[in-house]
Amino acid sequence: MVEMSFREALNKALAEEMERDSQVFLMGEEVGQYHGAYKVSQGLLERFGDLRVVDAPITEAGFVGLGIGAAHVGMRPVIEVMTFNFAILALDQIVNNAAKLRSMSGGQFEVPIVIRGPAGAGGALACQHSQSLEQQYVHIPGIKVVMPSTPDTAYRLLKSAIRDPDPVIFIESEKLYNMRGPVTEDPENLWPIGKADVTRPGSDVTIVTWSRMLTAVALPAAETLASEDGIDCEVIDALSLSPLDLHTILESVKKTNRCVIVEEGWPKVSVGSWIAAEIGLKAFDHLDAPIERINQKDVPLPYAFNLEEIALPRPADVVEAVRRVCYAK
Amino acid sequence: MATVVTLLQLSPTMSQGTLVKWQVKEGAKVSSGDILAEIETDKAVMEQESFEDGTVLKLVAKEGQAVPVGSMIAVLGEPGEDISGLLAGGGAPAPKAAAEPAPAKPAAPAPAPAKPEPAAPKAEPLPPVVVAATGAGDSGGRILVSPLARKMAAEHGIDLAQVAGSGPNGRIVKRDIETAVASGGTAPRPELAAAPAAPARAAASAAPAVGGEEIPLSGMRKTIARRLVESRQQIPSFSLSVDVDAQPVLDAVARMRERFPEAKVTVTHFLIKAMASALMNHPWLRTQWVDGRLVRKHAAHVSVAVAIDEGLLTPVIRNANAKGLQAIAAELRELAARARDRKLTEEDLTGGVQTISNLGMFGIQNFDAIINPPEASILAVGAVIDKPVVRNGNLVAGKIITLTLSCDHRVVDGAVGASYLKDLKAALEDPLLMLA
Repeated sequence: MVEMSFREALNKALAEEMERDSQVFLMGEEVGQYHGAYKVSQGLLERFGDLRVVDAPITEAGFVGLGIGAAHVGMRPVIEVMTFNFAILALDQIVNNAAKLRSMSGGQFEVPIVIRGPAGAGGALACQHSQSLEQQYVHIPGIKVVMPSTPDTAYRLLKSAIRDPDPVIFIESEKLYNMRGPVTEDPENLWPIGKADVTRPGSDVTIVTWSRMLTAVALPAAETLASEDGIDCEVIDALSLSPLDLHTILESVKKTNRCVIVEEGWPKVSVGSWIAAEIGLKAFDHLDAPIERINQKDVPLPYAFNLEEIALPRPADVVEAVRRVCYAK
Repeated sequence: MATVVTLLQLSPTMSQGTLVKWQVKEGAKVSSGDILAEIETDKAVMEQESFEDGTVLKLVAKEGQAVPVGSMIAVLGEPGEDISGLLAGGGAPAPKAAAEPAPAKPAAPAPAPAKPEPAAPKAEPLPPVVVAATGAGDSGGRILVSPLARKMAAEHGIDLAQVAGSGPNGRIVKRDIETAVASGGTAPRPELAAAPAAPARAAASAAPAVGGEEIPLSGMRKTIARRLVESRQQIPSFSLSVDVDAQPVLDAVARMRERFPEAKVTVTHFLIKAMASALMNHPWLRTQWVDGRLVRKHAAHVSVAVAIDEGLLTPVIRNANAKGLQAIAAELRELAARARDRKLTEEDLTGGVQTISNLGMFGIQNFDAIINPPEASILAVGAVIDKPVVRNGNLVAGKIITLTLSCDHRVVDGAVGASYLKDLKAALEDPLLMLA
């Protein structure tokens, strides 16, 4: 293992995959000369040239559509959106073309595209730039959705996404780019899409989460509960939201009989609400308490730091929810 | 189109009711809001209204019959309408929009009129306020149990009715079943099913062969039994006694009687006022243990134990600290009269924070009373007794009342209860303090 930042891990994965496969190219706003709004593409223009690292105009529907077209004639585009808040402009391309072409063409076309970029709250970026919109993509059959939580999973998942034959939405938490951690040194040690990680094994309650909520909220809450209450939390990092590794989640809930779902985004019609419904259906007889969900408050995220903090999920919210489902005082 | 009238849940703890008297006859026309029947709940005799206009086609329940909440008691509709399909459905809580023409079912032999176990009564009843006021989680007669606990109970042959739930609203959860199993609660299930079920629930189950006459168990008697067993089993209570010099209150009562003879103020009214005033200064005495949580009440509502022929009721005098003695006296008289007529409403009976039970008129010197859940304390009042007392260093004849406060130690600690009792004594020995 070698230690690096989340941003460096993404950069390394991109560079290695571009080296490995000449069909892989990167396109997006400011990815070339500026090296990416978040410096993920540092050095790539110089290394691979402007045919493979392409600066796009400010037109999400245009360059995402271009990428989808390139993908279905055999290229392997990685499209960077400056944030997923703006990928909303390209939803028509993603939903109606990327997700549908395999099916519409009777399997004649594949769309091996990766659309990646940051999302989530970044710290007083105000409500238009702080959204967690993964449920938009999880809702759509025909595309895959992954959300890494650490430098290692970022590196290993991005490589899997680039090699996947289908469109992959790859969502990075804006606050994780500077996170440092050990990363595998084996370039073929990929993390398979569709597999969750039991980050912290435990016996009393299952906490399901993904992306930044893992290290910012779920794991600190688990430590508090272990030391203050003696409650042993099993924390599952979903990593892949579509397809979802429901098997790992259900096995855990059948062991612990309780579940709390921690999600940065809003509560209504969310990824967490879907996971809760699946658990309610498939592990009903194993539940000893209602499934609790901790989400961002159901309001446009406030701009002020102090209000932003209380609108987002906090470790204390998870601690309380776990105590409730464990019937602990 | 015919409409099934089901027995409403007229009190939050009611799982069945006794049809005391029909106020309508078959063939009568009724309008929405008309009284259909008098129903004895576990607390009172109450009236059930019609929600529909129509003609009474059939009175299904008989007077004197005990009926589970939610089951059919009557059918309304147009004269001459065929309701055989509805009646064939038995006492089941048939949905509102029942038959167009009766579904051509072969008229199966009607099942027994009363269902054995009151199914989850989903009545359309009761403003939620009333439910909230009773505090202690009420599930409308259902046993709340987690899916896992239900499965475990089935595997171990545990009767859920015998298990006390430790979750919110008394929900039975995994650990409760584990406890039941550990304490030997396992029993082969099928054979047991017919045996005399949970003693707390069974009404008139197979009477054991003991000599003597079996007296019908009224709804009120059952409620008293259930609540006081619950109190004694679950509340770790302790009692504090104090002697109070009654002379100042007796003097004050005498002056009130002289000045306002028609108000008929008594020592009890003084006590209620003094209790409420002291309660306002002692928040822990206004706090209740509800399903593992502490709930603080912000008003000094005092429950008053009223003995009636059939048993005992505890109507509530609200905000007694803010009421004058004349008002308290008038209100208590009115509540006691309605208690005797069994006309108290749910509202009259809920929301108290402390009960007063006075047996002084029988010459009882002191006693300790059983806490009336979810309240956290109860005050037992003895008779005014002539006793020697020391006043200003001299031995004189005094009038003494002994007060005994029983407290729920989960909420009220000894010193807290004692401090309340001290303030109560001070207020009674110098009634002017109540104006402070």
